[in-house]
Amino acid sequence: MYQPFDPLLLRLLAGGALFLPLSLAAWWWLVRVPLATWLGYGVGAISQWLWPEAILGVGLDGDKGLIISLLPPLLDSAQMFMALPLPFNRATVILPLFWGLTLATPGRGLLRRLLLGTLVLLPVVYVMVLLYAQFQLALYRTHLPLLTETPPANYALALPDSPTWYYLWGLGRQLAVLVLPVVAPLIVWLLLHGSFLRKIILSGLLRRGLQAGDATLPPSPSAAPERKPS
Amino acid sequence: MIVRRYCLILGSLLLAACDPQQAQYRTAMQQLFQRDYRAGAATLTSLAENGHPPSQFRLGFLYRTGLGVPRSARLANYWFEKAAQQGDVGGQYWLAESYRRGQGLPVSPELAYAGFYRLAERGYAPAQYQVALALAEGRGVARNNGHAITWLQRAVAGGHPEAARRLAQAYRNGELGLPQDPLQAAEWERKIQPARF
Repeated sequence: MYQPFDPLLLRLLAGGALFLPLSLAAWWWLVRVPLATWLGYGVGAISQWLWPEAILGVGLDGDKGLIISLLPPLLDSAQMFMALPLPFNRATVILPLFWGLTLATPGRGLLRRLLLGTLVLLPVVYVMVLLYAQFQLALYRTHLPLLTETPPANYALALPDSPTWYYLWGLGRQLAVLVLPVVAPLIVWLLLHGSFLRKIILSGLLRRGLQAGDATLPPSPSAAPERKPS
Repeated sequence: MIVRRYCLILGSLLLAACDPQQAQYRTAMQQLFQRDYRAGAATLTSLAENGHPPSQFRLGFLYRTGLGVPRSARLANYWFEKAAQQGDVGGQYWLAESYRRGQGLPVSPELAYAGFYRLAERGYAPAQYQVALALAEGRGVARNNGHAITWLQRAVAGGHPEAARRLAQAYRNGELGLPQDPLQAAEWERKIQPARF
């Protein structure tokens, strides 16, 4: 019987349809806020080494971070600090994407694969948030709209970044917001499920080979039209 | 080679973290953030007296606003000047602004222009806008419409919406030696809106 898809592939697709929404739901209700809290601490802790003159700390507003900037705003009022947005969800969403893919993949050692992948992805999440924080600082200093981001209403009392650096930070932001959320969970999943992928690819090739072989075989005698005796 | 470079970066980061003045400055800013203005001002004073430019600027700001210290435009300008002498952007800008407004200092359009010009040359758009206004109005410098337009354009390139608005107005009304040109006015007005993709 002709099957358009490999049964393994079908199982993966069906698993994805089931587990991706479940993982996203688990992330949204259980993981998102605690992870944001930890990320806030993490970014706040490293910011005193990375940006000692620019960031005082990172505050939290629900699941969003707020960079408390040390760069004073150009204002007539007594306002001394600027809060810059630092969304964590764009970074942490890579975890449920990976969990969904992994849960959908048949094979042994599910817990080990989940744990290992999560451990590999957590530093990626951290780097994504740091790249975004760096971009927010550059946006505030340089005060030029870039990509979909508009600078805060007030200028910082700081010199703007050079155009080259500004575009580089913009590139970092694109990497953090657009590229890594899709590519990172996929790559980690691919690396952790090599044998499964080989199975799918090999079986696919085999099936193709068999089908091609069937097509080149001469028609069986039973398939030949019967000649009526004249 | 790469390892050596990373070691250098790591070393400089550690040095920055170990910088006692930087650590003390962060403590002062934490105190100010927690609205403990007196403690913050005291910490900043000791740092400012030791020549730390950001602390000098912040202390000047506290004197200007009267947070944690008695309000004093004279002391504010004293610390702004100290910070400005070491190249601090905030100190330079507010000192020039004090000369322009005559806050705690006699009004001096010339000194205000000189202060803004130094910052404008370093690429700071709000100062470029102030330089353009001074040139357009002949405040502290000989009136020069051509230079005023150039500085306005530079300020617009630095994302300054007021500069774009002023250029649009000049084209609409035929000011600064420009011909009346509603199309150009609309073009500059468009630049006031942030670009969206």
